[in-house]
Amino acid sequence: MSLNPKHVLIIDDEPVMRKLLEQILKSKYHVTTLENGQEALNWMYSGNIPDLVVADLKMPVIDGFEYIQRVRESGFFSDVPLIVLSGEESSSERIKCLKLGANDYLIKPFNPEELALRIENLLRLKL
Amino acid sequence: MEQHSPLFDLNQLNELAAGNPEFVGVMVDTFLTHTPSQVEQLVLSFEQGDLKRMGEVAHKLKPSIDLFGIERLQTTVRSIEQKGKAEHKDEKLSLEVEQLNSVMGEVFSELKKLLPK
Repeated sequence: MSLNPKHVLIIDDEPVMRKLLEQILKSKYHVTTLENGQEALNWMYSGNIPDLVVADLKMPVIDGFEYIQRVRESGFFSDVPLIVLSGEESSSERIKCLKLGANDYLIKPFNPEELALRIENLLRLKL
Repeated sequence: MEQHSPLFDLNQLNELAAGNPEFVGVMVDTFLTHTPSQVEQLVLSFEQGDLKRMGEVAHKLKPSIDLFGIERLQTTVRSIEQKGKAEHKDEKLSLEVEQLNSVMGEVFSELKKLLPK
């Protein structure tokens, strides 16, 4: 890991998926994992601003759609790159996410190398 | 044929581990800690007639079933998910839920043997 690693926030209510993403990304990034959109918003409004978010869609309390909407409507986090990683395969869900302001969309099961490259690309664009 | 495929296949996890000896153990431990209760929830939701909830749990189980290479259930879990989403109970659903519960039980038992004692 570099001396000043980028901070990636993972939001997924499924523990196996959270652990998998953490394991895959932790060698390169500082990783925080949270269980739903409400936890993520609370964490962010407590002063934590991630460099990039990877979020699931179907989550309790606040789901991925509402989370994206609230992040994009906020003044503080509206430019944080956001990748949706979902088991939803329909194009209507993907379009809805992109309309709400998600930067990218991957379907589970995902290729970890592809996810890593998409994260890298978005972080590079953000520089 | 799904029925004759191995119970699970950790090749994908081994590839993801990329030489990290702890990776597979951590993932198996996480799977064994959290997935049995999800299977219980799915069965209970079916028994209570809450097909929507049953489908939601199947949706959550799907990536883990794929990740652990449980080929026998890859079609089944998707079928349960779709029937839950549509709240459609047909004559096969009961068998599919039973198959998922039974195969996952076998997977849990076998995976436990892989963990250090």
